[in-house]
Amino acid sequence: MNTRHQSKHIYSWYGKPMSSDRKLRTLQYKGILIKSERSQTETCIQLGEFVLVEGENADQPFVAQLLDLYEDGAQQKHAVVQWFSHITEVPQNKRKLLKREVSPQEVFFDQVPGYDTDIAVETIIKSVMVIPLRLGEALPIMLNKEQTFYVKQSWDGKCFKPLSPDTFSKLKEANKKSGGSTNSLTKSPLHPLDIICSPKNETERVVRSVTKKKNVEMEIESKHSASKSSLSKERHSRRVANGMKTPTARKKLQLNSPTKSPRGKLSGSDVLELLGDDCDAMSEPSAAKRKVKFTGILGSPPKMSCSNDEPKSMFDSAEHEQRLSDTIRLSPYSKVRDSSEEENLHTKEDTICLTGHQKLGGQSPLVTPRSHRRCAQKTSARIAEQISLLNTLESDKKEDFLSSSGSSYSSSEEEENEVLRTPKRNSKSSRIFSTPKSSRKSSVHTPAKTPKKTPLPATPKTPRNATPEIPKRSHAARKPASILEEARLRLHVSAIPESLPCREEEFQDIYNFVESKLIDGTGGCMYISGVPGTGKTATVHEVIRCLQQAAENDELPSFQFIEINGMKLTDPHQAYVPILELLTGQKVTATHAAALLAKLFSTPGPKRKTTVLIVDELDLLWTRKQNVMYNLFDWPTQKHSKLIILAIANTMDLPERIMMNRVASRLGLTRMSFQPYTYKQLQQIISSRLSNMKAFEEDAIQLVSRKVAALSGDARRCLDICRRATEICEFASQKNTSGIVRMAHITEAIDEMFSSPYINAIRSASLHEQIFLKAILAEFRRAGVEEATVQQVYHQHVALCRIEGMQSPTVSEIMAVCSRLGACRLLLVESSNKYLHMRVRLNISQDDVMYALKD
Amino acid sequence: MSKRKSKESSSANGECISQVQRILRERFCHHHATGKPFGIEHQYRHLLELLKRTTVHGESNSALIIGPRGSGKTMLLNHVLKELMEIKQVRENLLEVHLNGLLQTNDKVALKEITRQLHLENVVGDKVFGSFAENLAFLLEALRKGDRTSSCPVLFILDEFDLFVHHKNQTLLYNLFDVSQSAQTPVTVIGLTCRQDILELLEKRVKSRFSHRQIYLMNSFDFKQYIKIFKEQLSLPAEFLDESFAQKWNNNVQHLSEDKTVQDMLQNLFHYSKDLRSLHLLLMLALSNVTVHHPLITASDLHEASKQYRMDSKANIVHGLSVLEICLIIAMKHLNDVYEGEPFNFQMVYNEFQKFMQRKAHCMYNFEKPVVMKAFEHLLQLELVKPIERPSVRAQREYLLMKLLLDNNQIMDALQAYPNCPTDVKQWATSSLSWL
Amino acid sequence: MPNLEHPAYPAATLLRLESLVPCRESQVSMLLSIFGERQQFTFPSIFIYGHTSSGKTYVMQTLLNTLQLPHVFVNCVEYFTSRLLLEEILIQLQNCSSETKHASHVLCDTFNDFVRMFKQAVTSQDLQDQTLYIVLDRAEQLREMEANILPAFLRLQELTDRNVTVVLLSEIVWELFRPSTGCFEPFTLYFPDYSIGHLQKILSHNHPPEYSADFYAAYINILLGVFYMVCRDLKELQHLAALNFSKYCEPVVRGEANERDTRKLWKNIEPHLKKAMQTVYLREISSSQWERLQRDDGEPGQLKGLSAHAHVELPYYSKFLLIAAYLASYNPVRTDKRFFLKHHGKIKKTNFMKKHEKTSNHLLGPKPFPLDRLLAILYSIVDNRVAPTANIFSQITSLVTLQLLSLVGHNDQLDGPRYKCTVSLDFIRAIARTVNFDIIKYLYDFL
Repeated sequence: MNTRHQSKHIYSWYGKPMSSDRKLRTLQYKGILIKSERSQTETCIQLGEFVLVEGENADQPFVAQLLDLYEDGAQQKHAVVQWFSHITEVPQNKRKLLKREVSPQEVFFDQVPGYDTDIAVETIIKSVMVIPLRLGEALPIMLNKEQTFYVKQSWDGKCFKPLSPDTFSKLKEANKKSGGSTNSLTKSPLHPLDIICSPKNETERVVRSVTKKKNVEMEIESKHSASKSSLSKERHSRRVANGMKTPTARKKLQLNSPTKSPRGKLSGSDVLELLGDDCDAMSEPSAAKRKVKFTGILGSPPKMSCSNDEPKSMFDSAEHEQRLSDTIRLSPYSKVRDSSEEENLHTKEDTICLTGHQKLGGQSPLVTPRSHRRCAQKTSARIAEQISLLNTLESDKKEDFLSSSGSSYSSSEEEENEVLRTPKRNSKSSRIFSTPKSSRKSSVHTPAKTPKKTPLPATPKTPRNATPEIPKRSHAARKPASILEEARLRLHVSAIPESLPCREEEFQDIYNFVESKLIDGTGGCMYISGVPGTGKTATVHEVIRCLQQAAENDELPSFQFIEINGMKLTDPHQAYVPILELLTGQKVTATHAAALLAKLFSTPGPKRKTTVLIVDELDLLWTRKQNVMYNLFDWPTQKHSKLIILAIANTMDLPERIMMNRVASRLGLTRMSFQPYTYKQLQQIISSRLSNMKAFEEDAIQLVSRKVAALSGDARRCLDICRRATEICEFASQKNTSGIVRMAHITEAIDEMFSSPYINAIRSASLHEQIFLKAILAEFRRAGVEEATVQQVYHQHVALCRIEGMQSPTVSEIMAVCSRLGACRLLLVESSNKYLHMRVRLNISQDDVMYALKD
Repeated sequence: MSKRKSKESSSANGECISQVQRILRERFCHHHATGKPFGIEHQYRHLLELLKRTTVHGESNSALIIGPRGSGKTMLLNHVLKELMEIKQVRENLLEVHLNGLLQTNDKVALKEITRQLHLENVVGDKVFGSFAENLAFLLEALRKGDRTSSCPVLFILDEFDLFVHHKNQTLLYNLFDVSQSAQTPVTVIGLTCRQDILELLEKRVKSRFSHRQIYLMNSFDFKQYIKIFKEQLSLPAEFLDESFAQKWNNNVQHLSEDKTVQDMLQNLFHYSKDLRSLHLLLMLALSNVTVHHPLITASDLHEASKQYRMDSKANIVHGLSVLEICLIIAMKHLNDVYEGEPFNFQMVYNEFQKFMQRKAHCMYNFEKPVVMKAFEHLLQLELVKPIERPSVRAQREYLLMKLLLDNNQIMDALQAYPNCPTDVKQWATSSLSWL
Repeated sequence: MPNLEHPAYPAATLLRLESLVPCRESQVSMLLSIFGERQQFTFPSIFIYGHTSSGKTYVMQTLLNTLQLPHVFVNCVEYFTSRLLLEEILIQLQNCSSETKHASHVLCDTFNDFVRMFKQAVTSQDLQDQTLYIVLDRAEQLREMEANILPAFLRLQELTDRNVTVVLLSEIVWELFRPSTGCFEPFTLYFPDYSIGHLQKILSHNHPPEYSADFYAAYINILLGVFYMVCRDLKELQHLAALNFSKYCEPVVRGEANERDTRKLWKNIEPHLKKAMQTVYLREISSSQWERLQRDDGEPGQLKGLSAHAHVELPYYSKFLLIAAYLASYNPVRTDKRFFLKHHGKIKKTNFMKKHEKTSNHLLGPKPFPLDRLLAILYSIVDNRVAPTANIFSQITSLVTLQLLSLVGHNDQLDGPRYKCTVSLDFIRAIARTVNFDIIKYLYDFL
């Protein structure tokens, strides 16, 4: 699709201005001519037609209807449109409102207030068809899916309503007349992709339909190749599939039982007429062939082929659900990426849906036991049900990730879900430990993988199918048994408390800041500083969580949340990459990402949501030219970028110290600094975490909080000490019964963590090492400087040995002793190639040494 | 005894000896020191509990094991892991990642290695795909996805921990510690280092994320225990194939441990250094003398070993010098005495030498300057003499300033041992004033 | 001497080994006992030090080869970067057991990769059951490489978890190797130098067949008598022995003396050897030149080393420039007045009583001097007037390029360039003689 962006387009008015507005000095037109330079074609789009409009993500244009075209005084071409929103534009939590699964071809008549309907003509991509359908009516088959959309319901940001009859009729007649006009013109600029792919589909189908037998085994081996390839690849293909499974599967549903919805058939057919004979020439035979092939699978005698596939296929579907579910859970963008992949993998579509078929065939034996119980030998109907089941199943999974409350389903399907889900568990666990690296290392799959995934294996790039994950554990983690263990669990820094005590006002300030920005849809920066362990990041996350909550119940406009951490980047310039990926799902190099982001934030995107960006460990984004920081803080100042930045760092005067003025000024003056916790706060934190669990004595808690407050005010320290104390307490009282942490335990934990090790190190050093230290002291005293060469110390050492009356060591031994002391940094020594002349200094105060050495 | 008799006896305990050699050598020279830890029960329990909690409860943690070299840090860890692995639930629930600061010299390498050891999915064979940035993102994503209860705990072991501190921004450490302090895949980071000042090396954010658990290993045992260790290390296990021989051997060890001279020798070693590696080295040396004809370690073996062990290396080198070179050394010694160890150049040394020759011309021929220069350069090559600044092209070699890397005592000792050294050279060396 | 014995190896091999390493039996037996049997463990790392040509390399090589122990032998000067070194080790490892020398190039730039490949190589060559020896000759070069290389090699056994022993050979003592953060201490073993008896024995080994052994032995005796004082380097001595033997037996060939009367032979060879010490020993003339000189019996008077070639041909003024430079860099500035001021009134001797002998400028070396001082001195020592023309300056630069003068400091400093004179006293005297200028009279050190 991107090709469209590269090629230039020339927009010119079609015909004379119909009317002109004196006051506004605008001229209305009835059509626009789009002339593409690459393919020397021009299309005319007239009022009332449907168009694709560029979104911020190139892969997902918006659908809209042209209502008005005019040119303002400044010769700017404008268009007034009626938006249609795609399902992915509907917020997650709303999607569950329509209790059905939605094909990517379906759009909703958009009545959301607040979307700017006045757009620049240049953002129009091309004209499309939007066909209104009655609710419950199935989508007819179309081949060029990019060209056609269906509208069943309207969406006003709160809920879905069926189309009001007049809009319905309006739309209908709109694309009636548009159909007439566009056909003549849009025929020539058929979308390149179709041109490429349609013949391919053709040939493939021909190949397949040679004989039943042939295509059966073809599918089988395709299946095997799939199973051979690595899990990740498997999963990938699945994921690709799910990007488009829904349409294909649904399509099949139509194909297999053509009598099922005559209405859909009807509407489909008249759409076909509209579209013209060539596409139905394309679709009809294909439909026929598929039907043939399908029955071929049904009655495929080599049942074993299916049966030996079935655990796999089961596992696949399970796996696939898994993927689907968490793609959905993670972010809508992953879904977008799928659809983008869908395009470059377009040609694969057929094989995939075939395997889809195969799978269904394969599953049937597995479920037959149940089916025998319930209904007798109506396999064909059963199969049809299976297929619909599979589709609904996905939507089902999708939904009960969105809402725990499962939606209404017939009991049979529920049961089927059980059947289908159960294998997931064990198949997963077996996958973890039974197939370790051996399967990955297997020479079988490496070739099978590299040619497919990475055309040139020389270039080392992450295989796009690799999913980052740590294997699951085989045994469940044990629940905390005793009070102390429970306490330890709650005191762990990672344990997320239900509330953040002692940070209420900081929380409020940040919340208000972001909220206000969100409400009046502008951008801004806030700089948050504070020493480590004062809950900066935690607080900000809390704020975001609350805001998201608010957005879900529509108290706030919805927004996107992105976080980057300077410490988690290998290089400051890498910062752009995750931002762009989270925004648009594109994976590009740092420089390219910077360019794209700059464009993105500088240009007015219609319907752009506000973005909240957290930049943690800001100081690490410092570069000599500071362009990264500059960009970050420059974007919010742009008019159209609805970007809110919360910058976190641990030094208050960072802007003054490391930023050059132009950066600092852009950062602005909204600052906030987190003070180190006072001992009262720390106390409160601990007790709130323990939440009336009797694991600690009161004064024990007080002691630790006082201690830490005196040292650093670092909450992490505090919690760590407490945890350590509980362990010590366990050590002390063997049986985990009468365990309550007392002062003693706390103090022990504290010394363990903070007492300087040097004294002990010296005390447990060998005799000659101690003498050497004495010698150093003596030499220092003699020379009056805190530095000596080994040679001087050596002489002192020999003298001391003589006094002690023990045999004096050789120089080699002295060198060894010295280096040992240097290795554990009791001494600071030069590089050893100076031998006797290397200089030695103490790394501790002389008093400590003397203290350690006396008695 | 008669020849034939000796033959069959030797063939009899031939493999006994080789068995002994095998067992003890493994004990002394193999890094998986099988000798059981001594006097560190407390640390042992601490670490054991820590790792147990990680694997059983999926609790994240981080700790440092600190102690001088040869104090048994690695041994402690190995033992704990060994014991853990006997628990089935642990064995199947733990992923280990072993890193060593000597091998992973920067985060780029380290990340690749981690990915490899975790068998993440961007590994093919032993190739890791992706750039540094990609790898980091990938790993973090993987760890972020997991959670305490469901995903398999990962144990990171960082040997030579202090070397990781010098990596750029301490990125790796920050991220590991950060994961260990946030609700992600449970990880435990164990660092091994010999530096007592390790905490001061951590960047403050990294330091804050490190749960300040420090397990100190000071080999804090007195001489009695040392003797005990000596016995344990040397004695044969009960399940030795020929227990009569084992009996004999162990008795012998017992006797050795009571022998006065041996004790003195050990005392010496103990005073010199407490770490067990030096003891192992000594015992290994003694052991290597054990043969069929000499089946038991004797006190003399140990003494030989300790002598071998306590040689002064520089003295050895000086011993091998030619007379001319010795003379130069002596000249330098005198220069050092006169100018209180100020650096000198060849010209001065040659001058001193000349003065000596003029007095004692008869003892050897008068060497030409280039010949002396060659001798001098040999000393330079042996690094007995070291130039204080890098020699450059334009500087003349004879005026390059040098320092002598020998102490007077060493020179004197060497001269005592020096074979057939001309007497007046000796005198010259001993004479306090250079021109006497 | 101790007859080598070891249970693991056949007596024949040991005998052959013993015959191969004269005067090193004790070291070999030491090593043998330390190595133990093939599969037994030994020290993870051994550091062997000893004098130049005290047979470290030779002994290790012969030992490992004759006993056919699996080993890798690398010279760190030859492979002077870590990358080269590691790759070479891996390559040798690949074809250490398999005789087929397939030098497939391996790519390995970090020690991490090295350890991984090393493990693979060991398993592929199935060497797990026996100790593998990696010998690094001239190990002092390791100090020049990355900081982690040396410690990593010392702990290689632990890092790779294989039965491998790293042997470091060097002339330099271990103390000068130790990294500042400490490391795994290797077992250090000292190879003592050959005593004069040993040298005698070894040198006499390879006597030419046409002469009797004791005749050659006598020759060696004389040779040592001359050179032993100066050098004990076996290689040097062998070289010299080979060069001068023909000269030694000349009288015998001519029939003037028989092999018996050593005194005569000694008279003949002794001055010759002295000459050799000053020339061929210093590599001032190549051994081929030396032999030619002997053959056409150019009487030893002429042949002189470079040190004797004391003057180069220079332009007239360049010579004065050089002299002036020499004076400028060896005389204190304050004495210039006294030396070069003409028509100066009566001179108070007292100023020029030389003080503290020890700080003679000829010991401390040349001092740098500014250009104008050079010129001033030049004008005063050259009788007829020279203009400070361009060619004077060009001559200065040419002297610099000849490295008779050297430019000290950088050109960017504000005051003009400073020079040093880098020629020896003998040289400058020779120059001065050619322009009959008595330089000693002008040198402060020689007042």
